[in-house]
Amino acid sequence: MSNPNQGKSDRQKMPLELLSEEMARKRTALADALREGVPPSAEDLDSLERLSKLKTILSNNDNGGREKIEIGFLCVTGLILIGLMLARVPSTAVDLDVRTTRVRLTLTDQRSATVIPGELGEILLLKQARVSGADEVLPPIVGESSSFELKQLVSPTETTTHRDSEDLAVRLQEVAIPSDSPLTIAVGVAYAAESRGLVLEASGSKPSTARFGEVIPLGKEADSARAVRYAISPVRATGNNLVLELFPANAERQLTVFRDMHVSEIRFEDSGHSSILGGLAFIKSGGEAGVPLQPSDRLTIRSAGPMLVRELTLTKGELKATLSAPRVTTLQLGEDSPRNLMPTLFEWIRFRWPNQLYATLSALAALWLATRRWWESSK
Amino acid sequence: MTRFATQTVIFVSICCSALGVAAQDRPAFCEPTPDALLGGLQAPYARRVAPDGNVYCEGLLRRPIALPPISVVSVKQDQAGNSLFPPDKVASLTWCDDSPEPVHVQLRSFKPPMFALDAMNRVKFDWRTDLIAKWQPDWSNIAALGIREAAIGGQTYKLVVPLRNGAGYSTSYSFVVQSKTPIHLSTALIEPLQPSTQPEAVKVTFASGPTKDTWTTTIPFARMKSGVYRVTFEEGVEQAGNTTEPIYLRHKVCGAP
Repeated sequence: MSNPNQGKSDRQKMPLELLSEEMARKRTALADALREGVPPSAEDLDSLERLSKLKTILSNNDNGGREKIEIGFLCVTGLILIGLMLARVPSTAVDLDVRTTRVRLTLTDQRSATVIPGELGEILLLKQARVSGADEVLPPIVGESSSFELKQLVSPTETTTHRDSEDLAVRLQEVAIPSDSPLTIAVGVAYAAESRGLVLEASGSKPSTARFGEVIPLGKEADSARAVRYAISPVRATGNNLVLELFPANAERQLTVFRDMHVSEIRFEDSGHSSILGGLAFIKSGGEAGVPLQPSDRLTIRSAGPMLVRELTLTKGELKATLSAPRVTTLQLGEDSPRNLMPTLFEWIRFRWPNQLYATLSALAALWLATRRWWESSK
Repeated sequence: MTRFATQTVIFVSICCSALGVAAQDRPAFCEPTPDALLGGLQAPYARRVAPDGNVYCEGLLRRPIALPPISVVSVKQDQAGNSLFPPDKVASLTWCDDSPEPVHVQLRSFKPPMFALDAMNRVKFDWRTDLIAKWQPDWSNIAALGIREAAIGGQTYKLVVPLRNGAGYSTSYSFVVQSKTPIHLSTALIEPLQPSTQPEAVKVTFASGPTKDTWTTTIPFARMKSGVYRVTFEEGVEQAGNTTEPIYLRHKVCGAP
């Protein structure tokens, strides 16, 4: 009488295993027959050969299924990796150190109404100041038209020391900008005979005001020892498109143009061309090393929030801008086919969790190898 | 819910309209501070009528929050001794000017309570002292400016006419400069606009004013011809070069042409 449980377990077995068991039984029967001196019949040999062929066929079918799973797994892994390497993060933090000849800034609405080139509270001493685009000049005698020029007073005495010379310099006391309307300020390098300075162009729907102090000599009647020989005559220029060309009295000294100013847009270009001389772009999610900026590289930077001009300085006829932008959405470098500097998702993951990324990849590889080994041994 | 929101919007609109009307009630030369900002003050700045029937504004304002540039905030004729406004009287502000144009009289208290007065009159301004005697009776604690517009050489200037409390006249003018930062002004540059002559620099010494951010000095103008002078207080050229915003001073010797 056959055991029903035995039959059930046979049905649950895989065909390959049943075949192996059948072949083993046949081989044992043949061996027993040979031991008893009975030669194997042709039918037994044919049967064993057919079983062997059938096992080979079934075994090949089983290997094909496993390979498909392996290929599928590799494809999925590959696609995920390609996706991570192609897809870019929506925004990233960027620090810029740029040497340039001109930069155009659009100021945010929330800003101070006063901009003073130079350190806070310092009055800038100028060898020369040229003003154009002024709608109103006070006193009017200084600027009959919309343009005028103020120059450092030259002392008539031969024995003028450097300190005395600076005393007679033109003072830039204040540049007041409208605090409640959009304003764009272009900062560039101004050129004059044997000197370089700063050009500031303030454009907006409301007027900006520049206040200067021009040193003037006083009349001969004031020539006595105790009398005041010089005085500072205030000059005020107001205009919607005010252009100031400022040449510092001491060209060797570094001049801080702006510090900690929030801007909504920044462009490094002059007459449609890039004004960049060099520098570095540090992309916070893209690795530690900065991306070098080459001369004439066109840099496009857009941000979802305000950017902070940490410092804009004029040093030896060259502008240097240090900018922090915490939410940059577009960062491109190049002319015709610009290079996208926004980091990929893979770079972002590698930047944020480098140890975890490498540990996960190692664990996945080890798991894959262990699974294959277990798969093969189970046969 | 919708009904409540609609009623709220209507109520706010009515309130805003009422406030707007109240602010518009004041003459154009008065301070344009919205009435909503004057709530809670015991005698808020408001429209009044002077004994001569002219409308002016007087009352308490809130202290402005600002960092203004160094500027001259008060120009008065020099008066010896303390000058107080007694209660229940009619006070008089006078000035020396021959123009038919009215002068904008602007009084602002240096220290709390922030009393303010704006009027537009010719020759002099008389008003009842009920409020000023209660809130800021000391003339030395009040910044006073008399301003009128004048066209000189095709350019419109705001001329400052030195004011005086009561009758009389003095050719010494007392200036108060206000600055939030320490200043070391040592010179007054006086540039004549009318008649156009050589500029002159006068050495000045500033004393502490009524508050810690004010400084006061007096300049005698007796030897100067009647006219308009651009006056700027400044540091010497050997210093940093700070200057005040220039004022255009109308100087006239009363009784002289």
